[in-house]
Amino acid sequence: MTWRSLSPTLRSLARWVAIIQIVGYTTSLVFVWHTTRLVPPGIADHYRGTDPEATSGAMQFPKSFAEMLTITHTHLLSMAVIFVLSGLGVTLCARVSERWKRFLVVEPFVALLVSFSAMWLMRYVDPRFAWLLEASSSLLALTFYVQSYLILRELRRAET
Amino acid sequence: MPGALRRSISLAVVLALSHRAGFSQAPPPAKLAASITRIFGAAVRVDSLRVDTSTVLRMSRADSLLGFASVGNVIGKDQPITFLVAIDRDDRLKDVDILVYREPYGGEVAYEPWRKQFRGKTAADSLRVGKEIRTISGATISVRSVTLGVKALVADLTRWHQSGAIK
Repeated sequence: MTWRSLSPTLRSLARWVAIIQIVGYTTSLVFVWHTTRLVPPGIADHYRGTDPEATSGAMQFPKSFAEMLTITHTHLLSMAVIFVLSGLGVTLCARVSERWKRFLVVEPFVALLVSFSAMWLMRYVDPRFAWLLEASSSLLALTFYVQSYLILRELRRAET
Repeated sequence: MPGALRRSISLAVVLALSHRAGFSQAPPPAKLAASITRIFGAAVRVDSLRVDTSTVLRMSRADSLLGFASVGNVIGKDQPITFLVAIDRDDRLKDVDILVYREPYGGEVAYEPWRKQFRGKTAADSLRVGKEIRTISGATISVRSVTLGVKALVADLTRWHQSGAIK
């Protein structure tokens, strides 16, 4: 089964789901840039807090255990749904090799587990785990945009 | 705690619940009593005064006025935040306390480093978020709501005190 063999209505649905996911994911990256500047020290400060007396601007306090749990379960479950949808989209692409498809489908789930493990380790063990979080999250974002590009390219070609 | 003091605090707690009845939420009595003790010290006499539809707590020790306090509620993102504002007898803000915080995010407004920014301020201070009052990353809505609530309550307490409605 490929995108070309599916009905035009399903392809339209897939196209708009992909577009909305790109907008949503990009918005979330802008939000993270706003709060952490997307750099490991900024990420560590966001979760571990900073000394209010030694900084100016917005105060940053350490995330509580309850907040860590809330962040983890909401993000982990919602991001898993995003990557189930984009993974299904990649699976239906005819012009991508099976090896790449398998990598692109599995990598986000591994990266999600690594990212959230790194988040907890950064909060409670060592701030340097922010580098691992940055690396795995960057790979996750890159995979998402590659997936989206491949899906939209395949859908466009399926219309011709 | 002496019996008379305990009774007067209990009375004050009951009456404090009626403050700003629009979206009034009850603070736990023990938390209110602990807050008053923390701010004004132990063995303080607490009397409740009615002003318009509000209740003001008057704190004194050995017939010497220490200050006034009142409980207010503001809406955070979805839920009410119940807070206490205390002023000294010169109408300077003595302290702010978060009595009940009900939302999953933004509870940092209860932390000492943020609350202590209010100490010494008066009704004449503008208390602008991002200027006189620093915001908190991840708690912006709560910071704005509580700051506006504190500003309004300090203005009320000061006006009532200066007009002689509370003394």
